[in-house]
Amino acid sequence: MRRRFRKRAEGYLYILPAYTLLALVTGYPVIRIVGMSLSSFSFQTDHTRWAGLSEFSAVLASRSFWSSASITIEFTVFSLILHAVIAWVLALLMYGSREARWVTNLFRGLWILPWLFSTAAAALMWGLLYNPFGVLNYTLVNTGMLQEPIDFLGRSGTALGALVNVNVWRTYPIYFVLLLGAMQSVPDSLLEAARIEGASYFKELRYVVVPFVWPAVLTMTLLDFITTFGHFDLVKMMTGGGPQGSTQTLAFYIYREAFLSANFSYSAAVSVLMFAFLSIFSVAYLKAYTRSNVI
Amino acid sequence: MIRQFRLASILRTFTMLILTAVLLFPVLWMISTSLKPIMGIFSVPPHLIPQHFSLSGYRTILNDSRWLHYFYNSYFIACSVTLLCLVVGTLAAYGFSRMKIGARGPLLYATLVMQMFPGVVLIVPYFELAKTLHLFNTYGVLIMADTSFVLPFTIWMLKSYLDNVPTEIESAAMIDGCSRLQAVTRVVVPLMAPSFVAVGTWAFLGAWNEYMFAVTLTTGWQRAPATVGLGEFFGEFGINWNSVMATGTLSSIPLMIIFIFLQRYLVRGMTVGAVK
Repeated sequence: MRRRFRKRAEGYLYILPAYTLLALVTGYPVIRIVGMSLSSFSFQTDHTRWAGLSEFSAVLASRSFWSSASITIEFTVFSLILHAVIAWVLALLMYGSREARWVTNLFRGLWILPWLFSTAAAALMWGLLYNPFGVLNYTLVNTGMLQEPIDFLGRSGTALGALVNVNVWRTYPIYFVLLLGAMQSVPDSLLEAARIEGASYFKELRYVVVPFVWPAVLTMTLLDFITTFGHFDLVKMMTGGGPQGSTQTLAFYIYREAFLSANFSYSAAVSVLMFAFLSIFSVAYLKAYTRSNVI
Repeated sequence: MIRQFRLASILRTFTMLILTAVLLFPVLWMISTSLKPIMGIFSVPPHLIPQHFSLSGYRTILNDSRWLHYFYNSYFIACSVTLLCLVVGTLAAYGFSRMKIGARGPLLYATLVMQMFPGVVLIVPYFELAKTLHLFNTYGVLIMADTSFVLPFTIWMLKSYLDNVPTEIESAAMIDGCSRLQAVTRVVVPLMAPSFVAVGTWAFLGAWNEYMFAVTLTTGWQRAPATVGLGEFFGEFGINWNSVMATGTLSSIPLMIIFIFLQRYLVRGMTVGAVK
């Protein structure tokens, strides 16, 4: 009896350092942010007073909050759609390829390359391409698709799309690798059975491969939604939320309210709302994760 | 029939080549611009292969002592985070994989949730913590902040690796008189070397690319990593794009080394623990 207890305690001893660290770097801040959102807090006065849900009602009544929320949804949905399109095209090209092993490996390597660059480096690469005198404008004007060069990041009609494009360019490889991995793990017996039945390539895809990878695709999409929804880096670097607030995602809104307007409690309330919203998706993700087991 | 098949295969390879060129164009353009003199950057028509080569972009950056700091800070922070997470993560992974832990399921799921946590929610509390503990603008606070998203997937990936390492070898070592800790350090750790490379690569990349915490918890070039320096170029008026692209290229060198030598570990890592 005593021995068993010691064995149990010993197990916890191994995980103790990791979870002490995690409690400090994630647990405490999460509790603190909820506390901040329920009080009126400022760095100038140490005096913090309980404010109940007043910050939340201020957030929910504010137009800038709702416009940030809808910009975030737009950013996320378009990113997700483009991720899916690019990943499926690349994965299908590779899946049906009968090239030598080293050729497909080379292509796969080159296709995951954008993911390795830091977001900052990707932002600069595209910043140069988007420049009014840059190569993108040059090409579009010379092929007649544009009348005159435009500043992609400086116009409220194009800025968000420009950011989505950079984000998609850097992050599609994760989606692609996971999708390809799922496709390649379709059991040979299933494929053989389909071929014996005389299924064409497209029927094989439609009735064997796609149903097999579907749970993994759902899991990936949920994860993609959660991580893209909180995106901050490109907005901060490339547009600063502008022009005219057209690229102000919720993550940037949280940052702006806290660090540029010093509305810490307000910012905390937005954080809590965002966290609560994403928790729904996290629960769905955990369910999908345990069910699919592919990732 | 055979001819038709060959045609399809040629078409497919051709499409793959075109797509590769399109996807990698921004990278090629960055490297090309970094090698151009200032006058040639926006030449009409644009040239992918510079008409005149110039290293002036690189010279400007390497003579700027701030950039030495930025790069040093990036390496220092990323290496510290990697080391810390590998040590602590290995212990935790061993605990989960080999010992009886009652709350194992909930703890592991909590870790999975932390991994995809929206980091922006943490920045205000971190800022407050940094101010009250006088940790603002230090390596320490950045290492801590990076741990919040690197450690969870380190634990997951190492655990999934350890689950596949047979227990017989360490049991044999323990029967031969090793204590458990000796068995871990002398038998398990050497067996895990490949996974350290894989997980370490991921941890390093995650910390190397981090921007949000760095930009909110530091000020100036003394402690900020290169991502912050790169981000600052956007605010500047009249940017020298050749030196900007030289900096971008230099900051990508460790990533290229990882890409060339450790690619298969990366791909495996991507499929084990889907990460931001």
